[in-house]
Amino acid sequence: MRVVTQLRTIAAATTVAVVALAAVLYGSLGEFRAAELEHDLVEGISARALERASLGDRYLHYREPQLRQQWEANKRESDALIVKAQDRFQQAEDLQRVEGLRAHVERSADIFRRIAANSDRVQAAAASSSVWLALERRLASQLLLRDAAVHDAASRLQEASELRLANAYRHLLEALGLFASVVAFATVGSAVYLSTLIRKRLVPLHAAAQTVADGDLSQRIGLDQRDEFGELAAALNAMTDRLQDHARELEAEIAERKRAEAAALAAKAEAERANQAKSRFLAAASHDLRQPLAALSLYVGLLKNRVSADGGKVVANVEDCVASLSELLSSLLDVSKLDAGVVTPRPVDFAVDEVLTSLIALHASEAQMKGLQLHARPSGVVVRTDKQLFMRIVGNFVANAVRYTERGSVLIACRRHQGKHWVEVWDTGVGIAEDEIGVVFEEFRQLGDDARNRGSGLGLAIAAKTAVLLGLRIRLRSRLGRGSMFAIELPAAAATSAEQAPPGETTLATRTLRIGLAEDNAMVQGALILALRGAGHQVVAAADGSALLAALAGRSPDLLICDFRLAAGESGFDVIAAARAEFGAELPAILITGDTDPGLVRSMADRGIAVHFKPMQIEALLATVASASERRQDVAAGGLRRLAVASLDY
Amino acid sequence: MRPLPVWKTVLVSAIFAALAALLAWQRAAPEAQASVASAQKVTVAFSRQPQSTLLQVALAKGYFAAEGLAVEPLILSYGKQALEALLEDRADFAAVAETPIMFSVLRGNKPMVIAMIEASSLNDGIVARTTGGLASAADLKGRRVGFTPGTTSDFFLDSLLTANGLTRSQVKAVPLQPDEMEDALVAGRVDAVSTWNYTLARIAKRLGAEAIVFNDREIYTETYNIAVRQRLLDSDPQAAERFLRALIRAETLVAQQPREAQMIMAAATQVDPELIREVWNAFSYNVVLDQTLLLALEDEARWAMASGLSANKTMPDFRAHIQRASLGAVKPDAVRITR
Repeated sequence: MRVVTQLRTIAAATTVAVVALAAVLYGSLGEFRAAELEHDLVEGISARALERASLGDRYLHYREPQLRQQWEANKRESDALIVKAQDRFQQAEDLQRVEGLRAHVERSADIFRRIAANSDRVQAAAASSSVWLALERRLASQLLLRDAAVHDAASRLQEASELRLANAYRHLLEALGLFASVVAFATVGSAVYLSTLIRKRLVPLHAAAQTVADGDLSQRIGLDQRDEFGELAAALNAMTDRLQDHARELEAEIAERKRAEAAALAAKAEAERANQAKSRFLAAASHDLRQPLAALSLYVGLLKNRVSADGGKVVANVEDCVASLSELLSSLLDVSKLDAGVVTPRPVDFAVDEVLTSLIALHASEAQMKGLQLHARPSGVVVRTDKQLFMRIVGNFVANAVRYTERGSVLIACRRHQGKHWVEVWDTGVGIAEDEIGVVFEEFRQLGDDARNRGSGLGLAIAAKTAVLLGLRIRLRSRLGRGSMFAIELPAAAATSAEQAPPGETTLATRTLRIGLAEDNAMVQGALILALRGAGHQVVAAADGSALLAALAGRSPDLLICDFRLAAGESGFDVIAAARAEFGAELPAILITGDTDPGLVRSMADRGIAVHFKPMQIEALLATVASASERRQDVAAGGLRRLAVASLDY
Repeated sequence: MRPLPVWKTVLVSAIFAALAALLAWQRAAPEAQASVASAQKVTVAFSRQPQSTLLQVALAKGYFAAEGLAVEPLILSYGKQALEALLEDRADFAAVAETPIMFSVLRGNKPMVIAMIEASSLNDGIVARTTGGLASAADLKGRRVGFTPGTTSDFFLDSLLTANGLTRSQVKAVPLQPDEMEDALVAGRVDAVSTWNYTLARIAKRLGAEAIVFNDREIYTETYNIAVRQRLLDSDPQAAERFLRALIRAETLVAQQPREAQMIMAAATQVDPELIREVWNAFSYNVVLDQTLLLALEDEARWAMASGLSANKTMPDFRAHIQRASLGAVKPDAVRITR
């Protein structure tokens, strides 16, 4: 049976029982009250009978009229009560008793009245009063007997009434007891039933639900379905089934994701390993290639001044090749430095037009050779950012535009777009296919059939990385065969007046320096000696540190140039440290290395040592040397550090 | 469970059977005792007056036998004779009105009353012949009035005269036996007679229109009582209880079946049933012991002593002649003597 039905049945049965018992209780109460009233009536009759007997006695004694009147008044009250009793009593036996009582009362009244009448005679007829006195005594005895009879009858009625009252009281108590018992039984029974229901039906349900809630989805509730709890159990089981299915799916999905994450992590690690391997390869390759390339470059530079006109063309070709090779290596080095995060922007305020003018001048000859129109549109905009890095980005765009445009024009303009100033480089070149626009900024990504002959494939990658470094955005629009537009966002300038870049960095000094050179590679050493002496400097060269110090003969050089990796495990830093120990910590120094390790660069910069990477551009090296000669008098560490950083950044 | 052996089963059954038989014997014992006790012969002296109704009914219905009493009736003319028979040890029980008892006590006898079996205020009366000009009780002055001395007839005559302003000396009281009264009145030897039923009713009926009956229910209440021989009471007090128990059964029957009781009385007394019915309501047949008896005895004793009917000048203690224990044992609520 369903729980609701059971509860309704219990409630209905309890209600019926309680109502029935309430009726019984009400009946018992009515019976008790009726018995009480009857008892009160009989008590009243009995009390009046006693009072009447007393009045009769006193009348016999005193013969006072008011006693007679009181007796009669008492009789009237008694009669009224007897009439009430006759109306109230229902049982024949009681009615018979009341009737007997009434008869005795009437006879008693007759005798009393006769006594009263006789009393008058006694008082009036003194002569024969002895007879009337005798009669009075007889009557008094009879009155006594009648009063006794009345008393007996009243007592009988009273006893019956008391018995009935006691019975009614007992019935009332029984009914009350029964009522209370039924209520108690119903209460206790209901409590036991509910307790059993909870213990046998709800508790297992709760326990099972709790187990499921704790995560054990294999738990099922073993209740039959005969009631609501069973149905609830079935519903919970069904829910648990679905939960378990979902959990399995989730577990499978999580496992799959974990596998995917692991694969992604592995791929990432692999990519990082590959990237590191690439960096190591590039570093190693740069170092190994720079040694001969540096020498080659130096020798070509020397050779160009010494060969004849016929040989000059060959030398020029060789120089182009060396330049290409050097550019490629420089690009690789730039990518490596940007990846290493060692490039620190030096923001300055400058006029954009100044950069555009320089770039026009730089690429004017190439554009002219290809018959292209190359021009810039002045803007008057002043920005604040790293001028060199910014110029490198825009220069890359212009170089590409000139490189990939066969006819038409290349326009450099500063325009507003979306509330910002942008430097845009427009060309009418080959354009980029739509599906390749997204990949042009990747490393070694070159477009077109003959793209490999036109560059290293690193230019746009370097531009993109540099823009990220400067916090600038790059836009690209292009249509295949119609041309392209590369744009770089301009940051707002802090002030309207442009702060000019330190002019000293780009002007070569002419002061003769005494330069100490430590280089174990004889070819490189020779090339450097030629270049430095060609620039008018005095060079004291040696293959290692001790030889150099010996050659310096105790006189401090103006500048030290040391190869990083010397023979027998000695490093250029060791030589610089030894020289500074002897000649002072302020001694300017340049370290030459083919190693592009970012850590090394940071370490040298912290020590005020400029680093030049191989292959060296002789002009760049000479510029650094010239800068050093100008700052020879400035021994402050800050100046040295600045020298070092400037050299590094370029 | 292993079944009991046969002999054990038989033994257990026998024990149970014996116990059951013992129980049955014990339940049947009262009857057996009753039958044994029926051998106890008791002589009961009483008259054929209506006051003896309970005795007649108990006898006729076998209630005495049921109580183990073999009642031998000693039928006498009236109660005074029954009391005399008791005092003479000719009877164990006697049914008698309070007046003979009162006189007997005043004479120094020791009758012992154990219960009242009847009370009436209308049983006694004076029946007169109107032919002599008697129209009211006051007309009895100077007339010859028959009465039975030492009985209720004697006391009632005095009471009625008193109620009518007369004294005994103002009438000519003629002592008569109850059996003589009818003839004496019819023959004109007396003008009126003071007597009781059935005599009273029979005379009135016989005289017809010439009869006039003077009653006064407010001046006298007669009681009829059971007196018991003191020695029986001492030797076998239960006999009195059994006797009373039989009378109580008769009381119930009389109350519930008055018709049957009247028929029993008619058969036992050879009195006309119509006459019996006529006077039936004048009597109250209840086995009790209440103040009525004590008051009547004392009232009558005063009268007897004042009238010179008794030489005794001291009021006796009638309570010593009323034994309450027997009735108290069988019908406690019927004992209502408060003194």
